[in-house]
Amino acid sequence: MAGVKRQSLGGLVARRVGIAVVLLWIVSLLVFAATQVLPGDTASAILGKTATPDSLAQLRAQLGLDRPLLQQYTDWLGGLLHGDLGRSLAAGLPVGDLIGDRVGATLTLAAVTLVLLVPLALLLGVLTGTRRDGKLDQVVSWITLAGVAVPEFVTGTLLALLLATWLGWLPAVSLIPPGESPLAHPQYMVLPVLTLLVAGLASTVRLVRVGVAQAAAADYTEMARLSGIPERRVVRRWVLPNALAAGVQVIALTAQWLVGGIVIVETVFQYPGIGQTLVQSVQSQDIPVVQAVALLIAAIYVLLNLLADIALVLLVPRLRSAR
Amino acid sequence: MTDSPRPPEPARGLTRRRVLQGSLTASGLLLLPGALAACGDDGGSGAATDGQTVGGAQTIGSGGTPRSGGRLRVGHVGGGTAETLDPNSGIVGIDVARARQLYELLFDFDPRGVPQPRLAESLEAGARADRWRLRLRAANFHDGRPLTADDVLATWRRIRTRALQSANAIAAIDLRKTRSTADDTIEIVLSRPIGDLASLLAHRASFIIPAGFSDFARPNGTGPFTLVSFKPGERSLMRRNPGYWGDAPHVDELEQISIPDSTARYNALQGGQVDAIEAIEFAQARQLGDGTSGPVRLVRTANASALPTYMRVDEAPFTDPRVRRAMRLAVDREQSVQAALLGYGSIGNDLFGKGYPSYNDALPQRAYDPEQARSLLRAAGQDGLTVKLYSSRAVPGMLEAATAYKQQAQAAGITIDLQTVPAADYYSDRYYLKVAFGQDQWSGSFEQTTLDGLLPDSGFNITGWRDAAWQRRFVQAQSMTDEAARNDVYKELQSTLYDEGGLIVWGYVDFLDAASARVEGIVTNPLYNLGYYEFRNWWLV
Repeated sequence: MAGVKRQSLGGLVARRVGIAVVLLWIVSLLVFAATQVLPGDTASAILGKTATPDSLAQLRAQLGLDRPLLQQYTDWLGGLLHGDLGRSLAAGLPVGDLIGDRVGATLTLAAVTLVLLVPLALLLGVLTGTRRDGKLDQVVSWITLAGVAVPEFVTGTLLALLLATWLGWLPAVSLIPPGESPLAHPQYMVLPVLTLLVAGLASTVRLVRVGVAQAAAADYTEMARLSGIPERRVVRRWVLPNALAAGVQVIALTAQWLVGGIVIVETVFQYPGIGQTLVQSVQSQDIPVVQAVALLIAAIYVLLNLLADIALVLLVPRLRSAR
Repeated sequence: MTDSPRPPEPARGLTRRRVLQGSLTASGLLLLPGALAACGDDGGSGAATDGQTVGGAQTIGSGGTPRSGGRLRVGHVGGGTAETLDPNSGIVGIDVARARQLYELLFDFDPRGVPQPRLAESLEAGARADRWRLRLRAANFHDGRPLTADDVLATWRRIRTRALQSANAIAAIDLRKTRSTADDTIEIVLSRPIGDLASLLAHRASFIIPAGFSDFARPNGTGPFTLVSFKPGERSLMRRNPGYWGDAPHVDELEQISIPDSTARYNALQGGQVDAIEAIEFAQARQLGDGTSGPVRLVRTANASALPTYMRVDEAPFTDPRVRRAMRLAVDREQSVQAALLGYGSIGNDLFGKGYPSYNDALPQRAYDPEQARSLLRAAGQDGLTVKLYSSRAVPGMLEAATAYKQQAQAAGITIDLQTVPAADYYSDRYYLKVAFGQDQWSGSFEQTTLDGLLPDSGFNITGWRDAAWQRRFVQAQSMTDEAARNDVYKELQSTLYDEGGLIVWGYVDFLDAASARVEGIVTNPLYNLGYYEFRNWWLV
């Protein structure tokens, strides 16, 4: 093909990282702008109905909310670059101290979900993709379609109703003692993980299935079949590697919706992670915490996508050529 | 009696406790929102009733002999990372709930709204009510130090100099002239006579701390529990204080957990992860039925807080008393209680403080009369009036009530132009106290709410009330030490408000909480959810 040039892996990675940094900077602008348009402000949230104009002005000055917006932004960004996430306006503690444990809890939840979800998605995707329109395919299709259509908070509430309230098998709320790892309390992880799995499998199984089905119907696979190679070998040799590439995309995709899904699931089950912190901070207008958590989530998102992109390129060499 | 005067009086600011909660819950989590929010009224049928005792001091549970031991686990709305252990600063319910276990007030409101001595042994007035002698009971702080008059004076000074919540309540105490005359005695000098000082000393955030104390992370109060651990926004654990001067708690341990989401909180109770929760939703209360049987019981507190629609008497068109009267006749109270509160409340009579000893219950109950409203408006030259009403979801039932009012008022030819403000913005300085026609939530007695809303120095004069003669009469009544005589004047002042004031108090909403059938000893109190958090009296069976 004309114009095709090979690109070194290092160069590719460097470019992607550069894009990621620019992306994060744009995100920081958006996050900052978004927190400025929230109704009310921290001072009025702290003082509530007891606020008087004097006390509001005093508190705003104390919290530095009376600085010009541009200065507030540059002060914040400058702090970030030095690893200083700022100080919670509500708690008066450094944001890092406040969310440290919670970041760990959220990452644990995400990791456990991913570890279960990826193999399951691949397995179901390959089984249904290679047996299109079979019984299993139809059943799984219906279930996954329903899973896509039902939002996480409904799935979570229904699961809690069934497994906790009615059957009494599991605790309805993940009351993990402060400072302890969620892994030490597996019973509190079941419902959140299950909810994330149901929601996550729906989209990922469909994705893998399509990838497998396409590979199974591709010219080179047809060619292999016509050459008399047994179907089992065709699947192993030509279909599965393509499914594996899809698997990487599954991880990236899952990471993407985990970002949104975890916030909801943590709230439904009272799981002590950053999603819950985000919701609470928005309500108490604790802007530094909102900004830090939002940026952190964005950074995780960007980072996972970056890793997935690189992994994909490693798995599928042809992507290394730029058009 | 050697103990103090009784009637509930000016504990300024009592009314505002829901503040933060409101904004929290509003958006769905919770914190109080409904935080503590959804609230409730008399334990009676859901219908609009007219309960006259505050809270009815209802006892939840089947009674029996208290059992000792166990860990009581309570699910609160919580306040996120803003939760504090500073007993003089807490605003949200869970802060108050923790402070009440670790520290104590000089006086404490009982379920009828009467201040009872707690750390005070006695409070006696001098010849005029501007000199009082306060004697303290023998009690020890958690570190073993005895409580002395100096601790009380230091607490008052801290509250005053830092302008903490109770600063208004103790504003009349002249701290330069007030001094201790013995380890357990304080001669209080007031800047003006106040007949019911005990109510002021019962203000919810005036907990006594040791002199020179500042390490609030390691609480050192006289309260019935001592702190084991605390993480803001998550939970705290406390243990029975073995050196407590009074009746020790029945339970060994108390765990207070922040569960902002109302569904999660309810699920945690249903699943047995906690023993009691505050602030359930109207719909959840309905699921519990009459709430007296089954594994989970409804804990319902009557006359908990008033839901007024307010008119500024100094802004058109409400400057004309005929217009204000017409607006009061244009609301169908029974229907609003059913529609907005699902029946978990009772109708109001345009006055605050229903159920308190000072409440004027001799005034005729105002009813829905669109015809008379129409003719009043015609007489005022306001036929076919159109007014903007500011509403929000800041408090459960608020927006529903405004919507119902809009329809009810049509029959009187009034067009209500409903302005819905985001919940988080409703109490911001952009709207609150800025609009001529809006909604609010208030609790407390007539005297308390008057201090907050109807005097020249009130911070929350939502109706723009400026009747100087009325205000002088109130201050005069405040100085009376004879409770009955004082309440007579208060009632007379209320009848003026009933006719001329700017409030449409269409209803009172109940506090709605829930507890496992394992929990006994809960006595409801209209000041706060879950019986004002008197956990020392609860026990587990």
